[in-house]
Amino acid sequence: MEPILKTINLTKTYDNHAAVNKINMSIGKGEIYGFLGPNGAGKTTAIRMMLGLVKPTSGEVEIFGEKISKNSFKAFERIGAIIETPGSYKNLTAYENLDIHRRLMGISAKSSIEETLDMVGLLEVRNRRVGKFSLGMKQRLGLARALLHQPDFLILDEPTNGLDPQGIKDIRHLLLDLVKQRDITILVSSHILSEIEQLATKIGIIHQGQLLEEMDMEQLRQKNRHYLDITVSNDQQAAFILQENLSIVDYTITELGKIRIYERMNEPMIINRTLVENGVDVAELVLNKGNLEQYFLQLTGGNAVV
Amino acid sequence: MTTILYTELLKCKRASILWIIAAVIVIPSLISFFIGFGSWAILDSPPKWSGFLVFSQSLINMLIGPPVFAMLASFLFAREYQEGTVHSFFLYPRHRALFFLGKLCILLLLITAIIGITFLISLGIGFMFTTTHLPYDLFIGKVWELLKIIGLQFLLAPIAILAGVLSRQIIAGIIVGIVGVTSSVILMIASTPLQYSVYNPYSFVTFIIDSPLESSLMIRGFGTLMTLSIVCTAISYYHYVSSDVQGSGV
Repeated sequence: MEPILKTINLTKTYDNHAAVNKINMSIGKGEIYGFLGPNGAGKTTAIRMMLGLVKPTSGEVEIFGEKISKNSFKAFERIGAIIETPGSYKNLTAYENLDIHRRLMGISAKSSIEETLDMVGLLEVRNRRVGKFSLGMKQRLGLARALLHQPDFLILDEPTNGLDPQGIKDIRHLLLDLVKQRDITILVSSHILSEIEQLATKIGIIHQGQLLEEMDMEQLRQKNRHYLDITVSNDQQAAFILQENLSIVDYTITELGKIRIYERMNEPMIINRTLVENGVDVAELVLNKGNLEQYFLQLTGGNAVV
Repeated sequence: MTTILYTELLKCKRASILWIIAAVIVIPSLISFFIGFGSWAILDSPPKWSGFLVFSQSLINMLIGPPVFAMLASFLFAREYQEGTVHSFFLYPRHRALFFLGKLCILLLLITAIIGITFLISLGIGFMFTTTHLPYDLFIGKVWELLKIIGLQFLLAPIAILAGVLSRQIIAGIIVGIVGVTSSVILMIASTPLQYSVYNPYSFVTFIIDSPLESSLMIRGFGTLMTLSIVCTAISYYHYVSSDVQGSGV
């Protein structure tokens, strides 16, 4: 199936410094792609290139099969986007801001404005000037603008900036509902790991302009489960004992003499005693409390992804 | 295109620039009123139509127009960058050139409206204080001058547009307008010969209305103004349509 978004060696260089370096990304229909990286990693620059706002030094972006440049604006009929803190016309009300957007997107139904304002929780303040809005309200208005024309693909750069915890939760539920109800595809960037973890179905980790890793969220979770590594004299015999005597079935033999167990990890002494009593020597028992945060810190060399 | 024009106008709703536009209309009108009232009440001689209409026209063309229209031009073109709306603005399924053209049209419309309304108010005040009918030839002459002023002020605007688009700050256009008028006043005070001062477009727009110029000076002055206007428009257009969009506002 043709991906919704594809980047090919996407690169942006400023004064010999690569802000984005040969990024190859692919987002399929219906996916929520979490674009994760610390501040300054190159997320926003990459997103700007995807939207034709910044010209790549080299490489290409394709959205809906159309090559994106500053003059390829047809694809924007099907894209909704927020880039960093979305700006609005402060002298106008929330309703008037969306009315401008509605007209420029060529949507005839005026009712779409109130429906979208309701969706993001701004209906009651629709006639208030945006200049009097809090940062969180402006962020919601930005999201409303991105959603108003019912796009097939949403690109959201740090959409929860300035939102309180309840606001973050609301936006998360809204996005998840949108994927379920409208089958839209979402690219959401963030430097907050927990945010991406709860939302994304696929994840791309960017650091210092490079896409370090791209994988399904499920793969990532598997990779970062807690486990107990046991080094034994006979792995086949040990596996049999674990199953028969301790009813442990979630394990893998990772290499010769090494077994990785994913259950009963809080009972290393029982496991050790059972194996020894049944004639299997245990050389080492290591409990690995691997979590996503540690994983990202390893990948990004300790840079803050919180 | 009508959608772009309408939305550009809608964006100006409740904007503080409207107060400045109102001031541009009110100040010359008030001065005209006091001149008329002074002549009528204090000097006991009704003002003449010719003097009456020339004053507000000259005031706008020479002193008030250039900085205010520069501000207006800069506001229209730079506000998207300054207010951080440029990201969403350039993500509409329309070519950026259409937005550029739309903003130029709105600028021309506003310049025409401001100058036209001021003229109509001056006419109204004139009817209040003068006892003679407005001579037809004078009226036609003034309307023709009015159209020239609109055209000349519009030709000056790209200098401010360029400053606004390049700096992405409204203030840049305002500075350009103020510097332009100041330079024109300095050249006038210093009694700089016309053959040199026509090269300053801000001086030229004054000369062309207030005193007829020799054709050679006219060619020099108009040539300079046109060249500057076209070059500034072309650079602004190129920059507006093809430059990267960085940074954000709140």
